[in-house]
Amino acid sequence: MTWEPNTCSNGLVELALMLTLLSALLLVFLVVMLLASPHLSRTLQRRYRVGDPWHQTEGQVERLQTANIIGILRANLDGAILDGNDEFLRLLGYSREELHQGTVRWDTATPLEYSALDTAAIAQLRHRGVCAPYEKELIHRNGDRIPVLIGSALLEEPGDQCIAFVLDLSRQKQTEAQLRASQEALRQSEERWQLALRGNNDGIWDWNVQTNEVFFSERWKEMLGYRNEEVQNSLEEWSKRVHPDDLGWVTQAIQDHFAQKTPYYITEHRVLAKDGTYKWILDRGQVLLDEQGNPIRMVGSHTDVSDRKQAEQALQESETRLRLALEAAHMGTWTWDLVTGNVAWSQQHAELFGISLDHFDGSMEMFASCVHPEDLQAILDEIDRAMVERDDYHHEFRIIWPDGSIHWIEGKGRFFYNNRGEPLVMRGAIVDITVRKQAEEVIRQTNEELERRVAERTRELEAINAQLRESEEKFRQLAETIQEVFWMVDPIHHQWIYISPAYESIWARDRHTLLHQFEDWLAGVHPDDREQVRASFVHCLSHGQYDQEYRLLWPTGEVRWVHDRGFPVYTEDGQLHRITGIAEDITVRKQTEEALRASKQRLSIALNAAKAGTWEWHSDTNQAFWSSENYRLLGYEPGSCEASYDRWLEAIHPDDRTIADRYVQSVMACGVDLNFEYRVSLPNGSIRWLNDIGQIIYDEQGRIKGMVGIQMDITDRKLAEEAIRRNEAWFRTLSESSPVGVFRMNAQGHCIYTNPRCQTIGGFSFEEALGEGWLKFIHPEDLPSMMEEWSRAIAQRTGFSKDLRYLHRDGTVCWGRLHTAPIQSDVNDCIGHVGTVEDITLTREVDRMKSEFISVVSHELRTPLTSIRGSLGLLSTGALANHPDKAQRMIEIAVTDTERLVRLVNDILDLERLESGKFILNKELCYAADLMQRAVETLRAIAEREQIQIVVTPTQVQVLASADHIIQTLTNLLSNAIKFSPPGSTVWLSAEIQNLDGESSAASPPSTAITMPYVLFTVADRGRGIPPDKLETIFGRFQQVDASDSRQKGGTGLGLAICQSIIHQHGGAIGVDSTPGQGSCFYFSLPLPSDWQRLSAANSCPSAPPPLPL
Amino acid sequence: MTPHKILIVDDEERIQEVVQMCLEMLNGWQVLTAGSGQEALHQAVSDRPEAILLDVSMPDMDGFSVLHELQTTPLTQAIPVIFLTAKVQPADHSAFAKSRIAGVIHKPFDPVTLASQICELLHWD
Repeated sequence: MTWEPNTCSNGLVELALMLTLLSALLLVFLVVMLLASPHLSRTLQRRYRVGDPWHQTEGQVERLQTANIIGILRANLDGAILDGNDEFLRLLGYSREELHQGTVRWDTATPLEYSALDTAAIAQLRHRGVCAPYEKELIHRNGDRIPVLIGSALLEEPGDQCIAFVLDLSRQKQTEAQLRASQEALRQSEERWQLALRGNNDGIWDWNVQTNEVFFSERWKEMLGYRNEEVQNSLEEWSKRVHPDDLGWVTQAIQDHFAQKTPYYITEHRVLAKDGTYKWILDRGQVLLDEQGNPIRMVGSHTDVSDRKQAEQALQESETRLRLALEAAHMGTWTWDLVTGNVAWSQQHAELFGISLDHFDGSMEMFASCVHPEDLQAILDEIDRAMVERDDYHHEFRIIWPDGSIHWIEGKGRFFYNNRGEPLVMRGAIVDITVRKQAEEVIRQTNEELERRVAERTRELEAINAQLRESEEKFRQLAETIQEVFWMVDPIHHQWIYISPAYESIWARDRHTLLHQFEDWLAGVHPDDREQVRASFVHCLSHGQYDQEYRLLWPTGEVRWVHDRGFPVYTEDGQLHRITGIAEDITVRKQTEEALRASKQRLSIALNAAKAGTWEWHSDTNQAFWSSENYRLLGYEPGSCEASYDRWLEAIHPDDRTIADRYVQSVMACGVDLNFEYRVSLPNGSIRWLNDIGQIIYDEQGRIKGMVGIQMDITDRKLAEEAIRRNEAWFRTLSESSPVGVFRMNAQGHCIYTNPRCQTIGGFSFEEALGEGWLKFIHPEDLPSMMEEWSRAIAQRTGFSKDLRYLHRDGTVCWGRLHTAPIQSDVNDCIGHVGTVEDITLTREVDRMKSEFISVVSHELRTPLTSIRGSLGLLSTGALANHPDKAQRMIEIAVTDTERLVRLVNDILDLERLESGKFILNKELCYAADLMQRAVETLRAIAEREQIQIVVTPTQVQVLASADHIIQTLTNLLSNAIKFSPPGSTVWLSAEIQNLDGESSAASPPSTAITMPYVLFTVADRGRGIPPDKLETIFGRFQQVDASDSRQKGGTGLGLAICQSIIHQHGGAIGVDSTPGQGSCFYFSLPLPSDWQRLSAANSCPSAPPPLPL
Repeated sequence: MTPHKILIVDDEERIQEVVQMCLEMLNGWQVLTAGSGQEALHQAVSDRPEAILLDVSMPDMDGFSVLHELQTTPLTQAIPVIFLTAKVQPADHSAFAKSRIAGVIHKPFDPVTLASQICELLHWD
């Protein structure tokens, strides 16, 4: 059997798993069986119903339930879960509350593919009362599927409920899956092992150290000439074949490896083959230790190295011969065993390396330590190269002797290979080539020095040439591209040597002609400057120095400025040899200078004109500089004191000083511009306004250094501003408190201002009126005509007037009279309109009433006139001459209507007089009772005729009144009462003092709230009454209840209007209460004089005389 | 030639009398009288006047209402109506212009020419 640790441990896991599963199944079976027994079912049912004590079996179930090993639930067969234990809830991830809310159902918690199983289980339940456990899956709250084993039993009552037991199979399923994975891995590993055995050329062995059983591969056996079955699986088969000379140390090597002294077991020893020969075997292996470090098994390989061993032996012999030869040639030899890594040197070799052979330990490391560090890598590289390319090794390198001296070595070598082409050993020879190397080095150094010097000279030459070229090039570039004219002149021969191209653009002349015509250059100079320039240049020709600014006159007539300078160039013996010069166009500079000069002049003029001073203040040194104007502005004599920040503060008006200081500090802190207006008190006591405008200045490091600025007298401006403010306020007050609405429109006809009165009339707010907003408040019926006229007014820039209605939000309508006038600008442009609006609602109402009154009066006058005109006209024809009775009737008609006409005219005049406000009643103290009596007297005859009884209840109080008018009022009311009373009925007239305690009472006339005592007169009848809709208007003019009343009852329709006017003139109130069909009660009040009680007492009369039947 | 038969409607009794007297005594017409709109409608149906002189300002039922009733009653709709009124304001005129009446005679009228005015309005020869 092969060594298979995984199989062993997996078997245990599997066994454990099986046991768990079995025990779980057993448990479920047990539970289900228990449940299936009718006895238990009954007890269970009892428990669920009444909670009887458990007996033993039930106890087990309960422990099962509380132990939470198994999920238990009670459910309806239709899917509802009624209850479950903690394990069941954990299984599905729900809380008990959710369970009780009915969130969880076993049918919805079951994946679709298991519903058939469930259905079958339920069928089984119904049929047999119990169902066999089966595996299914449930869906966890988080969506995971949980494999479970479930079994259930039907509860007898109610018959549609069951109790189910659920076992979580997740872990088992997981373990099964892991097991399957491990088995698969093992199988694959095994396959790989077998493949390795078959594919390898080496023999393989696997030794179970504890049993000494050894597996030898077929190749192992074949290597020694045996067939597979000829060698048994025991250690003996190996140990008996190892060469007796080798067995001891090989066993030792194994022990060393077991003791972990060596990482691998590796030996070369002889093993006996079947044919009786010994084969050299390279034996390699590695041990597997248990946790205590005890060897368990060891696996290894067996390689036949006999060929190599034989070659090695042959070589050894050859070497011996060679060594003798080499020694004679002062040649050292070496051998490097690639298998063991050992290096062997000849005696000569050690001598060449300056060490004794005894000191050489045969390691590559020691060889390496002798080599010059700089050359070691090259040696290794050469060895690699030789091995890879199967070429001879040939290299020269330095070694360092123990005494520190350096020697050159030439080494040659070659690899030797076994019959499979693998390199086994490398052999080589070395000679000391130090002398040769030294000679070579001297030659090399000499050569190098020579070459270096040649190269150096060459470089120097090239550099000089390059510099020359560069210099020439630079000059060209400079001369040809600079804007300035570069020139050179020969002062001896008076000849231009060079003039740069810029000449042509600055002089606007050709430069080439100049080279031939020396004097020609003066031609371009402005005539005014020419003589001076010429003189100066002549001087220059002899001295070399030249510096002039002069003007050029271009052929186009344009004048340009140049700055022309010349410098002498001397020969070595100090003779003036050349003059070079630069001429630059300074026109722009000149213009700028001119502009600057003009600007400064303008600034100076401006500052003077503005009475402005300029100042500078260095906050770091606290130095200040003021112009003389500053001194004057601040109220100091110019130069009378040293300018300083403190001086400035002192000059400032005390009220502004603190704020000035703070403001400047903040400006300095923030680094912003300064703009400050303040007052100064001058020595003469006057106060002036100054304005300082300043800017921060910075030093080279960008730190705030101070400030520079100007200072101006702005007193006039301030006064003007103040005046404007006052004016503005004045006009604003004017507009805001104007009783007339005022508005302002811009040129586009958009409203830009309305005053409060205008807003009241229009029913809009200031904001709402803005723009075209005001149009929204115009009555829709008036808007079209308004728009038309307004557009015309804007277009023609004329004013316009219109009466229109505003419709307020609350529905009220306000009549406005609009007048606008165009506003002309200074240049007679129309820049908008200003307008007024008046509230003419009341005026219009008065007008309407007036016109209505005239209309009614006209009608009322024409009616009697018609009768009069008709009857008299008819009489005048004489047609009735023969009909005296008819003529008589016509005359009567004329008389009657004439009287009516007179009454009417009188009433109209009365009313007009009373309401004109110009009529003053002649009031006197009179007894109320007397007034009442006299009124009744006037109507006695009529009352008798109409068979009406008048019952009077007077009061003995005096009132201040116009007796005639009060009698007129009483007469009017009484006559109305008589007119509208049926014959035989009664009319009551009474008077009584009201409101003695000075308070308004419920009985007081509704129209007033009289708070002083008054007399209330009442006229009551049992007539037809007044319809409710007429009560409001009955005191108006021509407002009879029935228009025909005026004809039939002789009234004019103005009686009550006159009464009302009279009572109002007395400071009283008049009113009526009426119930149609039952009568009316007219009443009016007259205020009592303040001393009425004294007056009443002085004229002691019976306070309540009996009613006077009339 | 039979005399014209005409109905005068006015709440003012004295005006009724005067109109009646004028037309009867001066022109020999037959004049019927009514003191209210309701009375007028009855008379118009029962007596079939050739024309109606109708006052406008009357209590209960004004001239316009009477006119409407007359013109919506088949038996009376052909009877021409003349308003005899004291309403002479421009506003009144526009109201009359909208009514289907033969014409308007203003109060006070000239008793001598009243008949000829009526004839003219009614195109009576």
